[in-house]
Amino acid sequence: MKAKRIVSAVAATLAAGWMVQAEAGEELAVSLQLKWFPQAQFAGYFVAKEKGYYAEEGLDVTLLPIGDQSPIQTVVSGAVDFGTTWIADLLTAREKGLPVVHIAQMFQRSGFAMVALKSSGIDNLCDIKGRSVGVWPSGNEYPAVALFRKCGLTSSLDARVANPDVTAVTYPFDPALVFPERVDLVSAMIYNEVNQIIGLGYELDQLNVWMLADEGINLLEDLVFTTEKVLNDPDYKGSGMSGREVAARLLRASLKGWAWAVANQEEAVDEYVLPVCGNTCKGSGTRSDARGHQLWQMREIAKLFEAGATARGCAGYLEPAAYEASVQLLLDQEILSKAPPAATVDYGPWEMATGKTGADCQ
Amino acid sequence: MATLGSSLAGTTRAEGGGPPLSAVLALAAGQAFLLLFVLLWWERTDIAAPAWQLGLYLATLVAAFGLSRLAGWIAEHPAGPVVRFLPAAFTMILTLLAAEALLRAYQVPAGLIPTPTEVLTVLWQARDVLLQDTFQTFVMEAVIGFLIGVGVALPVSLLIARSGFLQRGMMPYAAAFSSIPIPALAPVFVHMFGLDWQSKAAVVAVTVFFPVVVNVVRGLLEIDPRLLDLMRSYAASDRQIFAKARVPNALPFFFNALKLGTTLAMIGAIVGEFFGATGKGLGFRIQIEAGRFGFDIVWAAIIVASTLGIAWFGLVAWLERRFTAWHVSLRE
Repeated sequence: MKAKRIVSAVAATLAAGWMVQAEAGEELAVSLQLKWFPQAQFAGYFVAKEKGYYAEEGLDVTLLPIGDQSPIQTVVSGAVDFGTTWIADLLTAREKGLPVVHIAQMFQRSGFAMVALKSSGIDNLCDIKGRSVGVWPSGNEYPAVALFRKCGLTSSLDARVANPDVTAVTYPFDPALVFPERVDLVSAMIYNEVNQIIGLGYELDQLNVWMLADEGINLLEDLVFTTEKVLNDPDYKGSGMSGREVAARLLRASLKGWAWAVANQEEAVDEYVLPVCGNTCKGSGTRSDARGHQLWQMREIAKLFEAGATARGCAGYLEPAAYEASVQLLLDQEILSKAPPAATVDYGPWEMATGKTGADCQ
Repeated sequence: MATLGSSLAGTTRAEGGGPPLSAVLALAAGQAFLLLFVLLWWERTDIAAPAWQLGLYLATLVAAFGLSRLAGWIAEHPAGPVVRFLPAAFTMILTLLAAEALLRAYQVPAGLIPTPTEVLTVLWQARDVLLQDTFQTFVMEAVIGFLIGVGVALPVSLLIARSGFLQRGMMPYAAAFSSIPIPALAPVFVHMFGLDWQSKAAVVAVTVFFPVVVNVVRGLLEIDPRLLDLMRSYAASDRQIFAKARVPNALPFFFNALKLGTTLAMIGAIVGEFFGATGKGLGFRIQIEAGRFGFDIVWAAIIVASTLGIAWFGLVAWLERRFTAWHVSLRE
């Protein structure tokens, strides 16, 4: 009796294994362009891949890293199917005629911060006329640009202003290169560079840290996008699935990965983040230990993920109000010259993936 | 276009024979069609019908055919410098017209490729900022770095040329270092010398230094032994041999290295800025605008950088002709 049961269990396992393999053979290969090098910022996608959530959806997803370049460039060129980027990058690209479409909003709150030493004398964020400010190029400078414009200041990022109020210093992302010697105020993601600056030997009580979201500049960050061409393809890469269906499957698995990652932060970092990243996971100075830095990052990322719509059970949903606020801000600061067309956002894949609609998220 | 074509035909015909009328007509008609389309589509935002697109390709081909025949005719006939420059000028005009028309016909987004008129417009609008960028990149970084590199390289070359030990000990390294790819150096120097112009000038100095050393040493040493024998038979002193035989022999090598250096200096300064900059410079502008899909400004900055690069190269080539006019390659 027992032996029989074992035999049938083995047989079932084998059969299941065979079926998985058979399915694996038919998995559709798609790629997702991450916005940066591997780190906890993308934990949900790593979890979805390694725990097999993508495979369950019939997808074989390749997660691609990128340096200081816009993910939009690789996706628009057709080399990559989907990407993650920030809202200002997406909307300015759309205004320049690139047919990119927003399909899911992963982070509900901006993690962009500005940091100054208290000893610099900058107590008010707008009090930076004549100062140098560290910004990142490649579409990551918009939050800083929005801040300058909001404060009524011109900057050297504007190719049409000859004597700018603020000197914007570009550098390869590591704040140690410029802060605090060359710039008084520096861009920092709350989940990454802020911890690096602490690692350089400046404790939080020596720093003024402004979250731009609290200063009225809540430009939405990590979102998932693709192109109109991908979405409107009736038979994507000959898979028999429409591009929209593929997008829905990618989102369903990614959201499942994210839910797991924020619920199991330590395990997510140890099992799924640290194995895929080398040096790119390290912090700076006294906080250079990769595990410690990524645990900080995972904690902060979880806060950005779990805000807004996620807290009401609608992870990945782009709240129309938050979107309108980002658009209005970019219009007010003249970063956009006109409101983006309705086709810039497509709720279809998210609705298909979650079985919900916007009405469920109020 | 048509009037330009016929007046061209008129002037050259006076010089004898005249260019083939069919060629002039083909060029004029092709370009006129392209120009007409551009004007028609100036405000339109729809993709042109396939018939229009086909027409544009045909017009470009017809104009190119006319241009090549015209260029062939000009090459075979005696002509002044202005007329000899015409084929190059028309090639440029035709290329820009065809690009403008095709980009408008397909409505290629400005975020991918801007049209030539968009680039020229923004070149004018952003001229103040681009001038500041140019001062930073060209004067502070490229020229200063170039002068430092050449200034250090010359005495070092003289030392090496005089010392057999240095020749055997250093020249292999100089040759190896002269082929360092600049992008590999730039981030290192930005870390060492900071984000402002000094780090880029250092990159430029190093990249210019080695080619000058390698070339000048070769020029000083690779001299016809019979020339040295001749000098000695005149009882020339070492100093005279150096001044009257070795230096003139080295000059063409030196100018070759300088010409190479102008190009390397512009590349070094612009690429250096990609790894960090203090809010100005052509490389900074190119990087920041490429990230924002502002390719009209990117192209405008590229035009400025190319124009300066060509002018600088031309200046060195002019100096070369003045100082080495006796050389075989320059005698007419």
